[in-house]
Amino acid sequence: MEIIKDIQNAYLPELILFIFIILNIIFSFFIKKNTYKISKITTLLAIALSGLSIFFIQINPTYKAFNDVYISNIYTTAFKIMILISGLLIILSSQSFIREKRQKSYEFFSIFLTGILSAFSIISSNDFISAFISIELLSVCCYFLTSFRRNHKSKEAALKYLITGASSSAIFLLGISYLYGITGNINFSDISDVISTSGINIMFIITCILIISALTFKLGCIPFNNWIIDIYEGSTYGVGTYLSLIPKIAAIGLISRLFVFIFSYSPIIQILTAIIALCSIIYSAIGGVNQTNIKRLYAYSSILHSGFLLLAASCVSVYGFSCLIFYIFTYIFMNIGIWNAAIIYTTNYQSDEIIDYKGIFYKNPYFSIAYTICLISLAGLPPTSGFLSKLYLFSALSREDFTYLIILFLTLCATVISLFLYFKMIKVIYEKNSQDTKIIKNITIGKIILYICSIITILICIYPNEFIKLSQIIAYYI
Amino acid sequence: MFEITLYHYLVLSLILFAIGFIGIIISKNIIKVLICIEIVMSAINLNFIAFTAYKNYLFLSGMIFALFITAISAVQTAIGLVLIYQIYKNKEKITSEEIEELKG
Amino acid sequence: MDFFANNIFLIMFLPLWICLIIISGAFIRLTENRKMTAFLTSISTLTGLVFSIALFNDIKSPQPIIIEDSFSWLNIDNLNIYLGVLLDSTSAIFLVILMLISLLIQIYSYGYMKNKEEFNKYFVYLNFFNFAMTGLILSPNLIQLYIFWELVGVASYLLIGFFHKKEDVSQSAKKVFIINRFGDTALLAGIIFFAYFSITYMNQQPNEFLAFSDLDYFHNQLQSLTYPNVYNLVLSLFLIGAFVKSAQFPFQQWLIDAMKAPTPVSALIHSATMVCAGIFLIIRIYPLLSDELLKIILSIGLITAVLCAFIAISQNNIKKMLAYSTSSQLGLMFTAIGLQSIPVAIIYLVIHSFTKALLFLCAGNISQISNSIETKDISGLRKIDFYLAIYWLIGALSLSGLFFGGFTSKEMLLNIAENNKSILFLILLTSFMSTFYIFRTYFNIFEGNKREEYKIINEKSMSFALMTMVIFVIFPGFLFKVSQINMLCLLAFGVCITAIFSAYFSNKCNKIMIPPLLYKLSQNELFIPNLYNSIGRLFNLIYFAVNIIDKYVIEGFINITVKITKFISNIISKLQNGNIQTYVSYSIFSIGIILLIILYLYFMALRS
Repeated sequence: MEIIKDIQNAYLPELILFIFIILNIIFSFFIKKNTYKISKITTLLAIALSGLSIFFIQINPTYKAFNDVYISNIYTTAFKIMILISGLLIILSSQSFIREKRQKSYEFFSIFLTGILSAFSIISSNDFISAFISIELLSVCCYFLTSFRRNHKSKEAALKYLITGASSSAIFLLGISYLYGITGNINFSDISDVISTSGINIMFIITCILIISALTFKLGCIPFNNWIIDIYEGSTYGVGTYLSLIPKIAAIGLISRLFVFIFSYSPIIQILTAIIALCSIIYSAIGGVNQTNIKRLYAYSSILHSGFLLLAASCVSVYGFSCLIFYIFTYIFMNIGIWNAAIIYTTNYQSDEIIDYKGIFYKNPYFSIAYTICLISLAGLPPTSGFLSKLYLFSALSREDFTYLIILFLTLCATVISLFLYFKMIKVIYEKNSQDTKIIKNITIGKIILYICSIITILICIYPNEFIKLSQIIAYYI
Repeated sequence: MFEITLYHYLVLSLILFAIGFIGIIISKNIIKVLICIEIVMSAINLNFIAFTAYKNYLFLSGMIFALFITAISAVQTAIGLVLIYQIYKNKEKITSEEIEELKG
Repeated sequence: MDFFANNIFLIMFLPLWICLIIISGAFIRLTENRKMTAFLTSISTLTGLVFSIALFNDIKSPQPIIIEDSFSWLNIDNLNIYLGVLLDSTSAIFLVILMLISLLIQIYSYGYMKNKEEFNKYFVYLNFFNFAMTGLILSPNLIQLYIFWELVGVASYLLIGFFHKKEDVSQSAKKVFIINRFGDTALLAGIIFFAYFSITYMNQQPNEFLAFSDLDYFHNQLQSLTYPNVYNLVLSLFLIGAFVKSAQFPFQQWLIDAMKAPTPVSALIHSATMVCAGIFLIIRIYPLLSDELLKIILSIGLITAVLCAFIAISQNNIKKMLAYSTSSQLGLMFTAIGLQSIPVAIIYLVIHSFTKALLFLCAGNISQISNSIETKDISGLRKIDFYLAIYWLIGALSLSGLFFGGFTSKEMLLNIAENNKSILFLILLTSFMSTFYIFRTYFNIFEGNKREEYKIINEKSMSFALMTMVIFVIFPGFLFKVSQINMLCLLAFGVCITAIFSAYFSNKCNKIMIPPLLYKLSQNELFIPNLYNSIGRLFNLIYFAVNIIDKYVIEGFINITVKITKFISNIISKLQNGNIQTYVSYSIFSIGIILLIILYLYFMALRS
C-alpha cells in the first residue's frame, strides 16, 4: 500500500494536524463548557505531537511521496520546525484575545491549525498543483482569521484580502500555465530537467517573473504589498502576529525551492528579484516614517523584513539560503517579541496609537527594556541577533557579481532610513515629561514570552556559531 | 477557412484575462468584482486546456489542473459572497467606496 | 591553581554582573543603603585581585606560562572571530595593578562621594570601567582589543561627565570623547588594513583572526612580502591610536579637559589605568614594529615628556599640573619602549601608577579641605593635616625619582639610555622639571600660614585608602635592586636636589627663577590651545567658507534628505487610499513595468 508507506515516511506531521483539526470540530459539537481551555489544550497538543513526529519521518535521503508531489528533506523539515515554534509562541501570547469569544474558540483554533497544515504543504510541495492548492487553502484560512472579530474594519480587511489574493492567484496561474505550455510538466524536478536540456527563451523569463510576483503577495513584497498595511490594521493582534509570520515563512520556503529548481537558469531573474526586494525595502523604509498607528508601523516593518528575506533568497548559493534560514530563525523571536509587547499594552488600555505608549519606561522598566531590545534587534544594531543576521546577509550578497554590489550599497542606505521606523517607537517609550504614563498590570504569560524572546535575541548574538553552522548544513540539502 | 491553432486560444485567453482584470479594477459593485475574478479564472482554465489539447505531452496534467482551478475558484467566490453579505448587512449597498475605511 | 586558571573569565564578568545588579536593584530598592553598593563593588574587585595575584604567582615561575582560552564567536567563511582571554606576564602585571588601584580607589570613593547624590550611578560606572579595562587587558586578539578599547572610551566619557549638571563638564566630556574617537578611528583603520594584508598575503589562513600569539609569524611573512613603507604606514596608524589614548604630544589636550571629572576618577582613569592602554597596545604589537617606528615612538615620547613637564611648571591648578605630569611621565615610558626595553617600561608604569594615584588622592583630600584646587588659594596645610603633607612628600619624592619606587625606575631608565647623550640630557631635564613643579606645589600648599576656615577631614575610608597607597609606593622600591650606582645615578641625584632647592627658593621669594618669557610660555601651556584657535581665526576666509559649507551644504543636505523622505512618505501614505481596486491596479501596473523592462532588454539584446 503505497499511501500508507508514504504517510509513514513523509506525511506524519500533517496527518496529526489533520486529526486534531477534526477533533476540534467534533468537540465543538459536543463539549459546551470550558470551550477555550479544551480547544487550547488540543491545539497545543497538536503542535507538540506534530513536532515530535518529525523525528519519525524520513529526512535524510530526500523522500518523495504521493507520486513525486510531496517532498520531505532536511530543508523542508527545518522550515516546518520554525513554523511550529512560531505557532506555539503565537498561541501562548494571544490568549487574551481569543478568550473573549467563548463559543467561537473552536473555530479559531481549527482554522489556525488548518493554516499551519497548509503552510506545511506549501513548503513540501514538489508540484505546482499542490503548491497552488495549499496557497489557496492558506489564503482561505487567513481570510477567516482576519474577519474573526466581527466589526466593520475586520470584514472590510478580509474582503480586501480576498480581492487582492484572488488577483494574485490569477497571475500565479497565468505564469504556471505558460510554464506548462513551454515544458509540459508541472512537477518541479521534471520542469527543471526539460529546461536544462532545451534552452531558455524570453517567454520563460516572463513566466518566471509572473510566478515570483504572484508569490510576493504572500510574502509582502513590492507588486502586492498594499494589502498588508490595511489588513494588519483591521485584524486583531494575535491574528496580526500569525499573518506576519506563517504565510511569510511558507512563501519564502516555496520561493527558495523554486529558485533552486527553476529560476536559477537565468541570471536576469535573480537580478530582477533582487531589485524587487530592494524596492520593497526602500518603500517600507520611507513609507513607515509618517505612521501614527502601531499596527501599521508593524506592517511596514513586516514588509521591510520580507524584502530582506527575498534578497537573501535571490542569491542562489549555499550562503544565501543558510543566511535565509538564520534570518528567519532570529526574525521569529524578534517579531513575536514586539507583537507581544503590543498585545500586553492593548489588553490593558485598548489603544492603537503610538502616542499612547509615551513614557512607559518610567513605570514599567523591565517591560520597556525587553521591548527596546526587540526593537533594536529589528533595526539591526550590535549587541542583538538582528545585527548578526543582517551582517550575514550582506556578506552573502557581497559574494555575488557586480550588480549585487550596487544593490548592497542601496540596501545599506535603505537600512539606515529604516532605523527611523524603530527609533520613533523607542523615542516614544523613553519620553520623559508625560503625566499620563500607564502602568501595565500583570499579564504573566505575555510578559514571560516577551522576556524570553528578548533574552534569546541577545543569546543568539553571544553564541551564534552553532546556529550559523546548523543553517549552513540545512541549506546544503535544499 | 483558416485553421484554429494554439495561438488563437492563447490570444483569446489573454483577451479574457485582460477583460477580467480591467473589470476588477473598474467595477463599482463588489459582486461585479467577484464575477470578473471568475472570468479571469476561466481564462486561465482555457489556457491550460488549450495547451493540453494542442501539444502532445506525456502527461495530461493541464486538464487535471483545470479541474482543480475550477473547484478552488468556486471556493473563493463562495467565501467572497459570505464576506460581502456580512458587510451588506450593516451598510445598505456594497460598492467599492463603502470599504474604504482603512487607509493611510 | 588550576581553579584560577580555568576561571579567568570570572574576573572580567564579575564587575559586569555587579553593575547589572546595581542597575536592576535600583528598581527594587535593593541598594538604597549606599554601603551595600560600595561593598558589592569592592567584593568584585577584591575577588579580581585575589585571582590576579594567584595568576601572577603562577606566571612568574621560571618557565613562562601562557594561558589562552578563547572560543570561536563568529565563523562566517574567512571571518573567524574568537573571543576569550589571554594571560601572559604582561597582562598579569597590568591586571594586578588595575585591580589593586581600582580597589583602593573604590574604597576612597565611598568616602569622597558619600554626601553627593547619584552615588549608585557612580559605582555602576566604576564597575563598567572595571569590566571594560579587564576585557582589554585579557584580549587574545586585536578585534576583542578594539571592542574593549571602545568600551573603555565610553566608560571614561560616562565618568568624566558625571557631574553633568554643570555646563562646562558635559562640554568637556564630549570633547574628550571626540578626540578619543579620532584615535579609535585610526586604530580601526590600522586593524582593517592589517587584516587585509594578513588575509591577502598569508600562505595559510591563521585559525584565529589577528591573534597576538600569531604576531611573530605575521611579522616574518609580511616583512618579505609587502613594501616596507606601506607596512610602516599601516602600523603608524596603530601608533596614532596609542598616542591619542595616552595623551602624547599632538593630542595631549584631552587629558586637561578630562580633569573636570571627580578626583577619584582622575586617579583611576587618567593616571593609572586608561592612559596605560596605549602603552599596553604598543607592548602587544611590539614584535611587528620596525626600527623606524621605534624611533618615532622614542622621539614623540621625549618631546611630550619635555614639553608637558615644561608646561606643568607654572600651572596653578593642582589637577592640571598633575595631568601634564601624567603626560610627561607617559612620554618617558614611551621613550623606554623606543629604546627597545619593555621590562623597564613596565616597571616604570607600575611605579608611576601608584605614585600618581597617591598624588591624585591627596589632591582629592586637599580639595575637600580647602574647597579649591588653585595653589594660590591654599597655604599652610601642613599645620592642619600633618599626615597629608607626609603623603604628598612621599609621592613627590617618588615622582621625582629621589627615593622609594621612583628611584629604581628612573635608574633603570637612565641605564638603558646611557649611550645616547642627547636622550640622557632630555631625560635629566624632564626629571629636573618634574621635581621642580611637584616640590613647588608642596611648598606652596603645605608651607606658609594656616588659614582659619580649614578643617581636617575625618573620613576613615579615605585615610585607609591613602595609607595603603603609600605602602604600595614605598614598597616596590625595595623589590628591585639597582644594578650599580654609577656616575649617572649621582648626576641624577644632584639634578633633583638642585631642583628641590630652587623650588624652595622660588616659594620663598614668591617668584620663579626662570626668565619671564619662558614663564609666560609655560603658563599659557605653550599657547597650544591658542594656537589651535588662532589657526582657525587666521585663515578667516577659509573658516568662513567652511562655516557656510557646513551650515548650508552639509546641514542643508541633511535637511533636504529629511524633507524629501517626509515628502515621499506622505505620497506613499496617500497612495494607500483604502480603495481595493487602486491596490490591484498598482500591482498590475508594477508587474507591467517589470515586463516592459524585460522586453526592452530582450530587444536590445536582439539588436546587438
